Amino acid sequence: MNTQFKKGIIEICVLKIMEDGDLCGFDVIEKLSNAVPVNENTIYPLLRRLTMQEYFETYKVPSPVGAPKKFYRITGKGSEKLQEYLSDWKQFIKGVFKILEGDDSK
Amino acid sequence: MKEGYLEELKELLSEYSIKQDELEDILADYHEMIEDAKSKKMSDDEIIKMIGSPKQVVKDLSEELESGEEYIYYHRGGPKPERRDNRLTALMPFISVIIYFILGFGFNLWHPGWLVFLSIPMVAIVVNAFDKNAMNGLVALSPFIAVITYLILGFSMGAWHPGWLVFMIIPLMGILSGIKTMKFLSFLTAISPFIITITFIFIGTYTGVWNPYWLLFLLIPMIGILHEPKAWKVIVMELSFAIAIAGYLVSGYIFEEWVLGLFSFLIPIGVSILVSDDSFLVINVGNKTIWIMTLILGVIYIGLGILIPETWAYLWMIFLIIPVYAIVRYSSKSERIIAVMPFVSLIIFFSLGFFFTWWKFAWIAFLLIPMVAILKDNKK
Repeated sequence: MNTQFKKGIIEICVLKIMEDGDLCGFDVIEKLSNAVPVNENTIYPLLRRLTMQEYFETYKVPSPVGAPKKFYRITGKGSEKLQEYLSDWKQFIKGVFKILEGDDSK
Repeated sequence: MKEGYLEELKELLSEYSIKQDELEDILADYHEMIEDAKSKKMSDDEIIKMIGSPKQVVKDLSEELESGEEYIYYHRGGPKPERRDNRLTALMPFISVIIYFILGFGFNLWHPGWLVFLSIPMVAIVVNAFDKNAMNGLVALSPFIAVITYLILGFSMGAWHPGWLVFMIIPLMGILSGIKTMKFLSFLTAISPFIITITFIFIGTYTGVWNPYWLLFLLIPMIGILHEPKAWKVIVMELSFAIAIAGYLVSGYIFEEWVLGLFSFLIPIGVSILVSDDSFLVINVGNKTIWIMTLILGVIYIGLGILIPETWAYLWMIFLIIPVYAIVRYSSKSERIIAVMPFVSLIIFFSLGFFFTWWKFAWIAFLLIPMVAILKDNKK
């Protein structure tokens, strides 16, 4: 699959996963990789970029076994962006299926 | 495991052109990833299997991010992404045609209005060569500066000869480009053949007297001798030249025996063989080839010039072999053909103009420069 295309979809997936609750980076990877093939090394840079774009905010939770764990939380701006992406995506995928299945246009 | 892993990752990443804060961010990410994995009770082996070895991580990151919008990485030792603005280069043919028609139809300046087409390769050079080293750009532009000056001198003053001497600025610019790393004496030695040739041709052309002004060429080895570290050797060799010159002049002017006077030059030749470890013309091992080449070319040029005087005005092109040789020897294989093209174009241009007086069309040869650059660029 085209890298840029895949990256765009992964970004939507990450935003969607985060909507369900705060997660650490590793949890995001786990959830993603259970559903779609994903390169683990691309997720942390993506989380960092989305944080820089203010779609996520981070906080640390002390861990009894090691260094404090960093958690990501989706922001209002992130939720808005997700809705925008989802709307675009649904419209796009609807068009794609229309073409692939060749329905009412015949 | 974590410390060693991060240390290796840092080392590998530092081979890339990457900002310090980005490097720290990436290391922080991997620190976090390893910590997260550990908190999930994963073993070291499992973690490495999941995220890959530092080498694999760097490979993934560079591949992922090179095409992505976050970072543009490139390996310090590898090819660098070139983001030069070539729009102007691409537009120049059209701009030139417009200016040419305005000059032609508007002012009846078809000639020398065609000179405007020279701006096509010149702009390509300015855009591409004036990147980091302005001097390299000037060297690349020197054939054009020489051509324009030559044509102006020729068309407006009829000074085709000795106007062609202006082409000497091409090798001179090549030498000047290395001035920062050269000692003054080396610089003087390198430019002396060109300065002396120019002086000699000027004096000869305007006085009509070539002999004994050709003795000026002896200044080249006399300057070269100054590289000899032992003072007594310098004095002996310089003296031998002085005696030979005096002998030649006395023989010529007093006894009118110019040819016989040439035998006096056996003195410096003999002395240099006796006192020097090597011939005085060999400055050092590093520039031996260039010096031998210059000497051979000089002999060919002067010899043919004396035998067939018409050759002075076009045979100078053989000296272009010197910068071309230097380019072939010192530039990278991929840049070689682009760097050599200005010289090849100049030879084609000058030959078409000089032998067939096709100056008005000969400039097309210079279009080879951007054409080769574009073709080469597309191959990358």
